Amino acid sequence: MLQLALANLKTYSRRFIAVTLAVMIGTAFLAATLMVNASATETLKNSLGSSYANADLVVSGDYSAAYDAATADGGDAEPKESSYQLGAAALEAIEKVDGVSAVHGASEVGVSVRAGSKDYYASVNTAAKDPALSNTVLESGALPTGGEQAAVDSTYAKEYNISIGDVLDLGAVTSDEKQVNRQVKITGTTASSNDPMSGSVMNLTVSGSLLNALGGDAPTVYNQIVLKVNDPAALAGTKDSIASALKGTGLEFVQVLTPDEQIVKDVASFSGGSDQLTIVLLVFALIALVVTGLVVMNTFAVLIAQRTRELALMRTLGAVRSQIRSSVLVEALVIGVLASAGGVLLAVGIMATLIAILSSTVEEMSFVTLAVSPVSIIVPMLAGTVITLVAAWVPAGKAMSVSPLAALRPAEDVAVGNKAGKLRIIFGFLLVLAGAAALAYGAIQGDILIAFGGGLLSFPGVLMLGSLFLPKAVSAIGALTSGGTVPGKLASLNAVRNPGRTTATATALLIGVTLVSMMMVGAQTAKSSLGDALGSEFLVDVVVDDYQTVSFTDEELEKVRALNGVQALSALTYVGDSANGQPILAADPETLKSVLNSDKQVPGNGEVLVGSNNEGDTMEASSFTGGSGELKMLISESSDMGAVITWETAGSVLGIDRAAAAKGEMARTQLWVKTDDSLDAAALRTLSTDMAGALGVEEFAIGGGVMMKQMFNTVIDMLLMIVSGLLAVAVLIALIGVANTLSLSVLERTRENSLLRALGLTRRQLKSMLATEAVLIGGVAALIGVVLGSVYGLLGAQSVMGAFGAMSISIPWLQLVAVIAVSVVAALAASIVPARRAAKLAPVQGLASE
Amino acid sequence: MTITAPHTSTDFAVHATGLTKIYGEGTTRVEALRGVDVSFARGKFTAIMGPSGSGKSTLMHCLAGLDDASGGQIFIGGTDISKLNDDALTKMRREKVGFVFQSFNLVPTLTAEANILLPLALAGKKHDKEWLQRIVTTLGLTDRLNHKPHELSGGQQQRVAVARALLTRPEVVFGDEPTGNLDSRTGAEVLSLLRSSTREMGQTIIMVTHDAVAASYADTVLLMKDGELVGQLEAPTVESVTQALSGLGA
Repeated sequence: MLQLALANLKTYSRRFIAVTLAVMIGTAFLAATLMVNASATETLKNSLGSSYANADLVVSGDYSAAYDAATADGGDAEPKESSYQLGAAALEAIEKVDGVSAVHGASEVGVSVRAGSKDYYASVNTAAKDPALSNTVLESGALPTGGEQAAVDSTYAKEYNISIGDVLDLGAVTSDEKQVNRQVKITGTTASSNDPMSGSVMNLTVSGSLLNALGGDAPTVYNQIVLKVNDPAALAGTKDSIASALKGTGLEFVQVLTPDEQIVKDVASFSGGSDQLTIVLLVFALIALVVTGLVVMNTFAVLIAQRTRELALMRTLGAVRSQIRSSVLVEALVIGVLASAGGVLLAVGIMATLIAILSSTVEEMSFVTLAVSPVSIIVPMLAGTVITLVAAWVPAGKAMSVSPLAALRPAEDVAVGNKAGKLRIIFGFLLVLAGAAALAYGAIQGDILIAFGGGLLSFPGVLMLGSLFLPKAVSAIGALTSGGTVPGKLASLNAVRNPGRTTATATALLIGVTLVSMMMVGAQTAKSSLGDALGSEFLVDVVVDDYQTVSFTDEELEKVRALNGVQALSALTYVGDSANGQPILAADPETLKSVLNSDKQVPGNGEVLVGSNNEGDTMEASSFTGGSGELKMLISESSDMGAVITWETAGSVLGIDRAAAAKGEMARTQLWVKTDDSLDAAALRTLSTDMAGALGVEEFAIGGGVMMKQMFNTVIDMLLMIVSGLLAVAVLIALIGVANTLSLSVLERTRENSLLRALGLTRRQLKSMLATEAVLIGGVAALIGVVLGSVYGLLGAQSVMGAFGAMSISIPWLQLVAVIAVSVVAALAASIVPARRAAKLAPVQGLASE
Repeated sequence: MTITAPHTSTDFAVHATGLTKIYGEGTTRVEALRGVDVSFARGKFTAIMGPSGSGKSTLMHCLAGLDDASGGQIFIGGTDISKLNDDALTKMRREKVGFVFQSFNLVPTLTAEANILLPLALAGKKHDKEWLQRIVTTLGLTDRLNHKPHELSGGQQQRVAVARALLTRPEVVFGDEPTGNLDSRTGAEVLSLLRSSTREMGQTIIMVTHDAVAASYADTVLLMKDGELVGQLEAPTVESVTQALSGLGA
């Protein structure tokens, strides 16, 4: 049977192209995901490990072990420093250990550096005396020899424009709060470190005495002590003697590790973030693999339907059922292994290219390393192969049940049985019901976890029920759109001729489209709900307030008023404080009305507009000129605002007028601006920059509802783009499935198609018939996917946003229509190759072939 | 009525008693076989003839273990196959039965040689090289062994199928209109081969046909009508067969 399986693969290799491609893409996704993780770790290793590149052993204090020991009795006592801090005594003790040839204690002091007219921060350290241990590489000039000299790392020398011969002022604050100042002359430049711990600031290499001086001549504390041994073969013994020597000095909690062990420890403390990224990516890889599985299952079902006669013949000639199944599974195994290997190679290629581009274009990324861990090869290989095998299992079962008699029947299409299992239908219904209940509950309660669980339950349920509604939907839409032409009618009949296959093909596409549209609707609804929430949170579109005693001038205000997108503005002037310390700002009621988002918020005479953090009816207030009185509070929903009154109130209650207030330090200290509604993200960013420029403030001073909304929208859009990109892989695989189904159907219907050609169907009509079939399946799957995705998106958004208040439903119609359009066009494109092949067939040729 | 091929009654390759086959139920009920008792002697070439719908194909399918009989017993080489489960039946088929079909039914992806060896490959057995050599030489396939089926003529394909059927030295070879797809010259060639395999190799052959010329190559012709055996001809000629058939109203 092995021979037969291999012969099949060889002879019909073209039929396996699409399924191989699908498995390849799915496994490549998984492999690339794992490689991202491995590469991140490897990159950290390369950079973190550069500090002990030349060492044989690394000694470091173990604070967490010391802390655990000190708090073992349940207390919160700090551990004794002498039990874990490496000092001069430790260095001496290590030097005395037999077999240690060179020792270097790494310590550093942070200093401020004045170069030219600017201050920078720098990390000061010493080079190891023994060249064998030193990882300080001189690039030009000389290393410091005396107390007034330093070498600077070349990256920062270039960035801060420091050259050999320059004199820098160093300033350090010692642990007992004393200021130490020194001057150094730059003698040389050194290679910059890849270590993210030290590579992010300027590094100065100085002599030991200067380092001590900058540390205030306090006892030196070493971060780490690196050392070399005489005999690397006796490393383990030396390691133990060092540990016991250190114990002798009272250092109970130290670790003596090889550089490799130390790196693993360092990486672990850094890579928490990349693990989370990996988990997120793995979810998408899983979706891609499930879709792949559906495509594989479909392909094998069709391949087996085509080979029914052949399989029946094998049964007649004496193949037992299990032999038939294993023959199909061998095919799947070969495809799975080859395609998975191809997928891994593809992933390596993609990752290598990406990393090459990244490291050559982004300077900080020049040390990024591609790592292909065994896991990132083995896991995708296994996953790809197992998924192919599992997906082929059901069709293999069908192959097994072919009766020997089928070989003796005249050659005619033998449809593969498509009775939807009753169990599956019942199970599907149960899943949908349970999932829907959880979704509804989650949405009402605003609990995303429950809603998420509901989604996880109900979607597979919907897919299980796919055979109930997908063929019916395709046939109904087909009947509506066939337009009465013969090819149209034939296409809509052909599309549901094998309901099982139609279901599986459509399901693969349905998964991708549903998830994409769920994300789109969810994001849009989240944006608009956030917009509403921010609308009530922020009374005005833009607030300019740099929290300093600045008074904006008439000229500056005119500049802002003239900016593109500014509709109205109101300047607020500080007039006094409330009894509980809130600043009271006064403004012109007319301009105030023009910038506030609601008329009701304009305070009347004797009223003060305050934030939601106020309680009660009235507020005691006094002006900085001495007047005081009681104001009636108008409490807004905004939590972050001062108390605002009109000039009329300022005069009548607080006894301060415009002229008097203008003499204060904070006249026109805040600006409230109304912007055009039509401004998009880019226009708003420009506006923000221009406003900051016109007013001479930092850009962070420009805030308010519109800006905040824009920020959230940008973040949401970015997330949406990334997620859609990841899901696009699943959609791509599904579309390969559409092309596959269609081309196999064409092969299967060779006789029938040539009969139609013989009866007068033109080539063009034949092609349009197949195109219609593809569009029907693709379009209906996309349509149902969009509807389903919208429901999921809305419920999901409701359960997330529930906590923030009322949800405002918003459907991104244009995007959803685009999703359907893309699916239909792609399905159309998928039909081109099979249709061309079918059209090539001469009418007689087809009838002659068996 | 019991009709047996004339031979010592204990030495039958295939033997059936009270064989019935019923399709459908109620108004769609069709009795394809109505209590057939039949025995086929070892080393003889028997043709089963009858008009369309007489049950000849059904009889062959049941005898070969391809279809379940509704009642009765079937023995192949002394084994009661009506009691076997699917796997045992399959094993019995690959060891004791060979087939030659109307539409050749070669596996298109395999070479002629691989097709011939397929039943043994399925059984996981080695083939007898001398026996294969003899069959291949007798059938004139020596130069064609590495060809795929589509590279062979119809006659050559059918000879490959005959070789496949003979290789396992089965108890019986069933032919289902083996010359139906061949022109008269190549058809005659194949029939001569089948006849010589009974004469020279002692192979039992049971062939279903409605072609009087094909039937005239057999030692015995059994006549069927409406699911029953209704007559028997020894040493048939084209004329005697045609006459007997017209007597059945065919």
